[in-house]
Amino acid sequence: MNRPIIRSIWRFIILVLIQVLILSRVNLGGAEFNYIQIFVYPLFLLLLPISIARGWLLALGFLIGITVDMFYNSPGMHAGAAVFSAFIRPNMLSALEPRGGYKINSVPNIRQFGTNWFFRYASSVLSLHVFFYFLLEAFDLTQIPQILLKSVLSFIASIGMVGIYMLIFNPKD
Amino acid sequence: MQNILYFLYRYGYVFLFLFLELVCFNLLVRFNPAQKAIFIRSSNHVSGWITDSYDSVIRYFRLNSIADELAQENANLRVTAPNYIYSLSTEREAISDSLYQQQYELIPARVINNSIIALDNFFTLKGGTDIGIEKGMGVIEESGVVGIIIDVNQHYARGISVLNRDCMISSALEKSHFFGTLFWTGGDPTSAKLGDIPKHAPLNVGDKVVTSGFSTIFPAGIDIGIVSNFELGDGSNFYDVDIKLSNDLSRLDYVYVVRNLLKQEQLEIEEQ
Repeated sequence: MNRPIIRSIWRFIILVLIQVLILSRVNLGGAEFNYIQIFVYPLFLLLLPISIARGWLLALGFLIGITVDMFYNSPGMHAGAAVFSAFIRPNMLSALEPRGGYKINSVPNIRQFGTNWFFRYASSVLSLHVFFYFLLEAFDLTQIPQILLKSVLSFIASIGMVGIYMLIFNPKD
Repeated sequence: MQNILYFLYRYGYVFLFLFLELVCFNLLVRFNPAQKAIFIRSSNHVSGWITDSYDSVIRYFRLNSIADELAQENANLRVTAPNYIYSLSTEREAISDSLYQQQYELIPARVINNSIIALDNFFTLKGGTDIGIEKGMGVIEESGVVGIIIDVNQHYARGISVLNRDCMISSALEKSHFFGTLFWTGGDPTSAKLGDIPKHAPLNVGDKVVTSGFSTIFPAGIDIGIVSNFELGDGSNFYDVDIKLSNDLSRLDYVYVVRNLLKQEQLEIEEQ
């Protein structure tokens, strides 16, 4: 097995552990203001190589989502959101494509594309992920204002967490 | 053929995406109680409005039988009015105001959606919190028990009917007062089962079964049905009783929602 695959497997394990052991117990808003959830596991999907097939991407999205769901006791909620993120990731990538196009082996991270580019890319996918998750959680279109409030606050917390992760690990591939 | 294969190769991921989202959706509504409740309730605005308009058309064809039933019920009620009863004791009438306190109120409502063929059946009423219906209230009609309200919004209420595996109604044999639980196991919509009747209870085919009044949901003595068959399993201490329901749940129209005015007091003392 080559390096990127092994790295991805490790990243999968580390991110799931951070998510379910630490972040699932963090409630930034306190009991009365239960609006903030921190998502870091979508970073696994964000950091997969650009050349990965869309089918694989979707399957991996489902896999990490359902793994997180097992610990959150919410079958289908995180999985649904992660599959959605995996579906839109290639579109976001092509929207943010640099002038020369992508190289065959590139990985969308800070080292290869720069901080600015990476955070534009991560925010676009992560914000939709968070919104889709809260949509599934509420399951009721009449609660849109609340869903939006939760999404915005959770997105800010999540992108902060993603930044911290990138600062610590700063992955090469 | 080659075009189809190319199409699948090119856009297969869209189908995979839809398939995986469908799987997630299925998991979501199957294992998450909140999402399940929202998914299955027909008391939301859109489906409530649709079933409501459908029902208003269907009702024209049933006006005759409804009028007959109402006339019959009117007649039954008339004979219970004070001027139809010959009072044996003048004393009782004089002090009846303080002797009797109203415990149950009936709220009339119309059934706009009802099912009987599923394994778990539900019905929807026109009228919700606006006419005083609350979650947990019982629903009856003149000839029997209908079900229990589980979900209510401003204009609609939704209930589980007797023909639902989650619906347990405390009931009793009218003659001997042995009590048990009425439940449904699916299948025939005209019959249900009665459990927890001990083997020393006197039991005959044709015995009348009524509500026990032990729960706070239904008043005592509302018709449920008659015993159609019973047997004692090997080594069991309780009868397995089949009940023929007294009302026809496939023809629900006007029902009464039971409001128990003393429910809070009973629950409070039972909690202690």
